[in-house]
Amino acid sequence: MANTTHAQGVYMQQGAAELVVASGGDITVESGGDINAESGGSITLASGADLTLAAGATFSVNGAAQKSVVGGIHTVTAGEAAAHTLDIVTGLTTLTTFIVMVLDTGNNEITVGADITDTTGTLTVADGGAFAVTENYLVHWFAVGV
Amino acid sequence: MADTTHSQGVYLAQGAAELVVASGGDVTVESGGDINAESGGSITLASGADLTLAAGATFSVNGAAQKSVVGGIHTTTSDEATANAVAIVSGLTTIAAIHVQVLDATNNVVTVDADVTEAAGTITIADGVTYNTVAGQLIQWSAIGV
Repeated sequence: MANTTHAQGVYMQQGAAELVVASGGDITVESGGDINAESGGSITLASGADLTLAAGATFSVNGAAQKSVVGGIHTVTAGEAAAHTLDIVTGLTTLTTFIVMVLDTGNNEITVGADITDTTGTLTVADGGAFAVTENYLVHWFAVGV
Repeated sequence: MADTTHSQGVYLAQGAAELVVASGGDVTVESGGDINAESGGSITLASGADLTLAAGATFSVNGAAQKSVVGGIHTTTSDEATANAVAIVSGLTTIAAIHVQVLDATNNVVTVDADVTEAAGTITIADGVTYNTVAGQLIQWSAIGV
């Protein structure tokens, strides 16, 4: 909860056990600067707080560069069924990989033969082999990329 | 490594090149406050450090909201084969999408028309018309959600 007795954006709590960045305050890590959490230290984001990586920022876990992972369930519309194809906008622009699993109206896996392509972050699932785009099929999709 | 010469929770190291949050110290970012890493700046978590997002905290990469991604390989038991269904607790409570691939005992994909459903984070894979739940099958699963 905010402490309204301080006018400064960044201040030290009495006793110096806590540095507070109040509303409107800021801690800036300039180029070459670093915030290090040593072993046993932690960074915690409370409910309602946000961690944002801007475009071009990198995020790695144990040396492995991480990408965005997004996904959802798309319910096939009548129009898509009539067109024999559907597009899913993933929100990413460059996909590293994707996975699609289609369930029929009885929740049975029915992906085999589906024609699946990606163009600049949009997944297209179309008729192929025995697979036909059918209204109310559920398209479960994952995409990894940037 | 901890510097035990300071009794304060938060202090500036000699030369003021480093702000230290000692054991028991804290940096609190109140609502509206911010920590910004400019281009070239970094936030690093050492081995043993922890980054925690509480329920309700958000994490976005290049504008794409991130969710938890979990997965595993489940080996079907004889009891599950008898019951003709496998229930996998994903650890999530609300699933955005799932993917399931079943391999038989010789690692061949046999998912075909498996009946795949999800309720409150538990994924159930049951017999389909062709697909049969068999002991020793490997169910590779992944889920994205919160």
